[in-house]
Amino acid sequence: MTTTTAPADPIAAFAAAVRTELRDLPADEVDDIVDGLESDLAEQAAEHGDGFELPDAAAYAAELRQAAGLPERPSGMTARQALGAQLRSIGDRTVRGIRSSRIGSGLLDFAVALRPIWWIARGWMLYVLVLLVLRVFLGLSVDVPIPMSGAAIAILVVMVVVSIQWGRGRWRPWAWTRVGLIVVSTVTAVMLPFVIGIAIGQVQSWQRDASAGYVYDQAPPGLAVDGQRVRNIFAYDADGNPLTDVQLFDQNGNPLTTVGGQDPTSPVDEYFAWGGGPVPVGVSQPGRTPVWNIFPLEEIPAGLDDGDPTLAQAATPPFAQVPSLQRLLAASPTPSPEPTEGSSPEPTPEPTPGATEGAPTPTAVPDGDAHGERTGVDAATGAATDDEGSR
Amino acid sequence: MDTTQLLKGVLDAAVLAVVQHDDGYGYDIVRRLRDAGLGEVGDASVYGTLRRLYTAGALSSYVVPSDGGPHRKYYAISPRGLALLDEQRHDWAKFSSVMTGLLAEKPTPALRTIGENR
Repeated sequence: MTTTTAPADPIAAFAAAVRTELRDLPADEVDDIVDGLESDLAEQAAEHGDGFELPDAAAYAAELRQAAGLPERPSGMTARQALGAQLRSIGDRTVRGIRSSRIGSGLLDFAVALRPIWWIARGWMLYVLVLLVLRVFLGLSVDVPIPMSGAAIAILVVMVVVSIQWGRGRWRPWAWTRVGLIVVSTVTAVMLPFVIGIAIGQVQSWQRDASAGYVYDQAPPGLAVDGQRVRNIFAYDADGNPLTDVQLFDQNGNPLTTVGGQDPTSPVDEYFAWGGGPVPVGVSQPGRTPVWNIFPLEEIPAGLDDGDPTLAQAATPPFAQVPSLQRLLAASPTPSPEPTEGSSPEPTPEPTPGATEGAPTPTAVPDGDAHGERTGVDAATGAATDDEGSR
Repeated sequence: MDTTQLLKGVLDAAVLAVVQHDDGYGYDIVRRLRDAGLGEVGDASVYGTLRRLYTAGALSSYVVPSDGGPHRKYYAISPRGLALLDEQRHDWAKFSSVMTGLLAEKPTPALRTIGENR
């Protein structure tokens, strides 16, 4: 090379340029084609003397390709295409490396099978991008990353379809779609963990809200049986007579109330208040929070001012009297019709005087030393319970 | 007429023809083609064609060190190349006679048939 005449250097440069143009081809093939090019050109230059001009390397390479039946490369993007080809060849080599092992091959096939999931994720990310753009430029409030409105869902569907079609090699109308695809895929890979995190957080907060709402909607606060709120409780002693001022406690020693966790300062059972029906009222004393575990509770009758606890009256028990335990246990197992017959015409003996007297209820009046009385009743209730238990 | 377009179709045959008796290296072959009258033939086209014929097995190649310069890659026709050349020679003969017939000038009035004379 060094022995050739003056244009040696331009010729070497030209040969290098031609090589660059052919860089997407396998190296040995390029060598085969370009080998001897310099000597030939040098000979040509010597022959033509000063009139010799080197052709354009790109055109020369294109002509070589065409004549040699090699794949053409579109003009204008040569450097980038060469880079792309290099990346592709690195990718090919990597794939071949993975394929060479059995496990690698299996994993690769598995990953390839998961491509549709990637397409959907990319569609989702496109949706997020589109909506973020809408937010930034139009100031819309948007559902990101989980669509809620119909329009958002429609956009998501469109984006997923577009992404899937791209994945299948369709819908790439312009050359730059390819570049866009790479950008979107890269953005997806970067954003996906964050967006999934946000989405999981959102779903969890919905679940929290939903479960809170569920409790609120389905199980009314307070004491309920099969989802139906218990309004009042009527206890009868062993002889079948109605009891008043029965204190109830649960297995943990907590007062057993029908109102449960409602605002403890409210004197009326707010679950039933403003419902038009009878509204139970707690046993209240000025300066103390109402006591709710003394049954039966007084009730504000239907049609009166629900919010005024002074209107409360003794609640009418469902039965004036029920069969005594003695009868109940001795008789045939159909006791229910019996007390109904006996009770319906007969006004309840105990609460009636309280009801007729009006203003302060009699049961509430002796509240000062109520405790002694009540424990007595309590004991009676306890006895009845024991009887039940012995059955 | 743009003869470079015509040349594309027959360059294989032309290259095979110029190396059928004498081996040659790239520029040598270009020169032979030009000397034979194909002045418009491009170096790159010839090199590419040589490469393609070599890949197809119609040519074999060997390297000869040149005195004081880089080595030269010589191409020689292979039996396969000879067969290909025969085939192309035949094809060309047929094609060129058809084209010649097509392009022949219309019979002039000078070629009147007998009896037409007035």
